[in-house]
Amino acid sequence: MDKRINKMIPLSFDLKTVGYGGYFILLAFAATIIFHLMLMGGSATKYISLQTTVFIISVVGVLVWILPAYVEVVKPESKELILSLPIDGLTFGFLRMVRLFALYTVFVLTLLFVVYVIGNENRLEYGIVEVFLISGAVFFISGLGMTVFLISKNLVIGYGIPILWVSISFFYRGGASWLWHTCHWINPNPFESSLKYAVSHWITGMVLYIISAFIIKQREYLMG
Amino acid sequence: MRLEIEGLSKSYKDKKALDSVNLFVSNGIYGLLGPNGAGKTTLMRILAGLITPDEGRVVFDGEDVLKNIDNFRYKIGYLPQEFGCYRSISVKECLDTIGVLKGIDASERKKQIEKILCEVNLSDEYKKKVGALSGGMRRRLGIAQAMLGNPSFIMVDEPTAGLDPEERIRFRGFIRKFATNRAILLSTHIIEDIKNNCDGLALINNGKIKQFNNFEELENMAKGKVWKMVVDSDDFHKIDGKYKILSTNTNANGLEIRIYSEVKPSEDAVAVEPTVEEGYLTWINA
Repeated sequence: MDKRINKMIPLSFDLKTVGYGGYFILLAFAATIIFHLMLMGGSATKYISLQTTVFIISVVGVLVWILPAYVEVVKPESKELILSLPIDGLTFGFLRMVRLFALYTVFVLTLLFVVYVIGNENRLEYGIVEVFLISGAVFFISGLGMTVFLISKNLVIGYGIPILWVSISFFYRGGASWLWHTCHWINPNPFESSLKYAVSHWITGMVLYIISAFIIKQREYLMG
Repeated sequence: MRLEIEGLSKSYKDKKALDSVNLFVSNGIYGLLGPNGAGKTTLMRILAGLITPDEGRVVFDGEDVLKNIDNFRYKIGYLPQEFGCYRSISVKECLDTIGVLKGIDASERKKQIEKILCEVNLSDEYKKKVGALSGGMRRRLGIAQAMLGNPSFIMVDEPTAGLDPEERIRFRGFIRKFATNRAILLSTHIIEDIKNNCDGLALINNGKIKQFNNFEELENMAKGKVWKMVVDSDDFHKIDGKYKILSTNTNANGLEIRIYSEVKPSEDAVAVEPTVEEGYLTWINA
């Protein structure tokens, strides 16, 4: 038999596996925007509050976007079949995760840009560094979620740990987050630069994506 | 196609799941029969590249597959005991996705999916969500996905467990249809699945395996150890517990029973030709 080549799962398939989670994210964004723009009134800080909320939903929402695509490799009723197929860490894992991340990030960056534009002068900065910082935060959290999810083989833990991380980063203003102050854009640590956090998030995110792709290849571990 | 398994062993902590297993499989249907926990699924999982054996070799058409398991995955089809993946998408999308993961070209995939759906009588259900299929339909979808890519070796783990008798017979028919020019290893604890369908068989128990050339060989294991006699209900209660009663059948003279015993259990007992089930019980209890 000829050697076949690993191909990417069609994007349309991935979009379907996101399922209701995808609608949930859209609903959360819509509710936030409606609340801030229509119900919150003319407060000067409402656009900052809107940016803050959209950012939090974006960072947490990426988990709902990416993790369901891999739930079949840990679910007892499906993992045996999926792992017996000639899947590889690169196309089934890394590239697929990057594709989902990229699609999602383009959407949230556009949304944040629209919020920035309509915010007149009452808004947080949104330049190149901020784009790098925000997308880095989303990248890091998605990588953390994937890694924790695959190691624990538990979707709840896969959601829980990154959400806990975002909460600590937000409430302690990076105090206990070392190089990974994920919420630096909306609640900055005044003694550190945005670029430093952005770079650390991107590098760590990349490492976590590679680790996730590696775990996907560890069939015996996932079967256990 | 030739698959040779040589000295395969696998242990989990103190329990030996497979103990120096040797097995030879070529084209046709091979039954792997054994009680629950005998080691069937462990063997299947090793062959599917899901777990690594402690020792032993698996040779497929002259190639040591454990040394290049990624390449071997393209050559096999596997239907595990649990098949419940991608429940939120349609039957056709499910097969298409698995086809992509098997590395099959788009045009070839389309052709194969249409053909296989027709063969497993799921053509009318192709739009249905996988989660909405009945147990029997899901099993048929399972065998359909195993067939994708035209593998020369297919493994099916407990394929008829939980199916009603009609669906079980239908499923056996599919297996028979797909066995042309390829080998199918069918693991089960249901003797009927093997008796009505297989060209060869192997018994497995406590991680040890014995391959039989034909069913007569298995039946002969119980030769001279199966007895038939007619008893009334009082005698039945006396015999029950003293001997292993294999089957009972009420007729006009009383209760006709078949007994497993190394020695003649009674003056009235007559030695009879053993069945496959009785051969199986003899080997399992040996």
